[in-house]
Amino acid sequence: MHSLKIKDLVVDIDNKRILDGLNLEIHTGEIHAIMGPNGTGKSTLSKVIMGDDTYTVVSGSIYYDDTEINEMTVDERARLGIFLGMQMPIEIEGVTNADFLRTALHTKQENEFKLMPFIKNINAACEQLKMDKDMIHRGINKGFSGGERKKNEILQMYMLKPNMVLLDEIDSGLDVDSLKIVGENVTKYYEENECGVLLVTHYQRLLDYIKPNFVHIMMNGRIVVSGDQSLVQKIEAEGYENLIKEGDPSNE
Amino acid sequence: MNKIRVIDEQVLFDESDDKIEVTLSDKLDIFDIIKLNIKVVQSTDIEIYYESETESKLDVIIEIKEDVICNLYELKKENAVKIQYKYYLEKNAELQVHKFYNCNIVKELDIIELNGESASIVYKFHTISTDTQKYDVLVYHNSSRTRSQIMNKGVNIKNGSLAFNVTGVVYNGIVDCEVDQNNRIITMNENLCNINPNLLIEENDVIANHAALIGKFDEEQIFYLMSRGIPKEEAIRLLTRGFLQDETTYQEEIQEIIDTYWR
Repeated sequence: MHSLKIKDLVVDIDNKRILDGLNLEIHTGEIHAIMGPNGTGKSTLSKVIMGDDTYTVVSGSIYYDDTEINEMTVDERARLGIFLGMQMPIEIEGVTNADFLRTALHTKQENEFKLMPFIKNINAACEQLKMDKDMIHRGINKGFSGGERKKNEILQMYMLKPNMVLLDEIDSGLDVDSLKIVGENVTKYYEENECGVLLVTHYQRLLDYIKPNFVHIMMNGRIVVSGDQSLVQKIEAEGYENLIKEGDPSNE
Repeated sequence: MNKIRVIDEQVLFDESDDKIEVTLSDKLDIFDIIKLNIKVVQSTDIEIYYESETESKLDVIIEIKEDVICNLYELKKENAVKIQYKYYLEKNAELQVHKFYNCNIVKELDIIELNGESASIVYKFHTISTDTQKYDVLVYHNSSRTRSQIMNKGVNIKNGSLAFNVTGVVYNGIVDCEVDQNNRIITMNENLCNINPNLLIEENDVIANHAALIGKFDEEQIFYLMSRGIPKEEAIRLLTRGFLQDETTYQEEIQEIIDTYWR
């Protein structure tokens, strides 16, 4: 059992406040979805948890289990078991997916790393995600479509086996078929590995495939309303503004 | 295939297919320079390997005859080198140059003369600079429908400083040419690095492009690699290898050098 706890987190970028006293607790075996209007700090939250030093943590703490990770580097957090599936995975020239994942796994597993299981697992993950196996030997995300990039994030998740998965708008840029593949594979991974999941999304459609236990609405850098999956239907029906007006700030 | 080794100013022929003619001059009295002249008379590949512990001075002339296609591969491991290349391409000649240097001090001048109509050169150069390195590349499009594609990539480390000065020249009346240059330097110190891309084009009927970049690796790329558990030093090693190994035949040599400097 692992947990990720965010306590009174205040974050700035270029002297502009993005997160303003945010509290959230996620345990393994739980799926949390964060929704909210544009510019409320949803993506910032996932990046700050991962340790992106573009942002300044003004106050507050992030705990993985009982360890405060505020001062940990990005790679240290990843090796703890935190994984960030990015909204816009970047292209890296010359570094192949195979090289990249082999290096990541080698760093994590050290002497326990074995090449043959690695090849077997990556081939199986490609098949499962309906990805061309040749992409393993191409540069990271080089020439990939938006959908292929998102699938590549999920493939990396399968290979690295994290226990706390942050998915930042993993549904953006996906067609209907790709959305189904990505959604079903995230759920499959969650069920098989009993990880914790934090989904940042704008749309209900992703939540048709990944069923959250908790849904939170973010506004002005804080969680202002929390509830169960029924909150998603309410958002669709009433919009954020009405819900927030009548909402009970669960964060207090 | 032809294999030539230039070891401490000694020129050795390991393999020859008689499709090239090689002449070698003695050192010139005043300048202490060796002259190596390679005439490519039929389509073939040439590999040249240079190695020297002391400072070497070389003058290399490569002539590609009409309708000949040649791939030239050059690997250089030298402490200090002053070298001048002259490439002469006749009508319909095609030359692909792949160069990789692991040297300390380099001062190099490359003069490319596209003399015959429809002659073309693709020039791909990679270097790791640990000291002062300066490369001047001059490309003269002396005939119509000639094409040049120049790509220089360098990684500047330790106490290195690196400069690429690349000039493409097309005079008035020389039509339908393509002039392309792409120069990139990744620098890992605060020393001065320079790229001077010059396109001296008098003629209107020309396609000319240039791209130049000096900088460090993109922080977003480093963040992406680190977010998968790869430490920063290892991420930079991966990016360096990717940057240098892209578009080169010298994969193993680059790996060996990366292992030397980044392990």
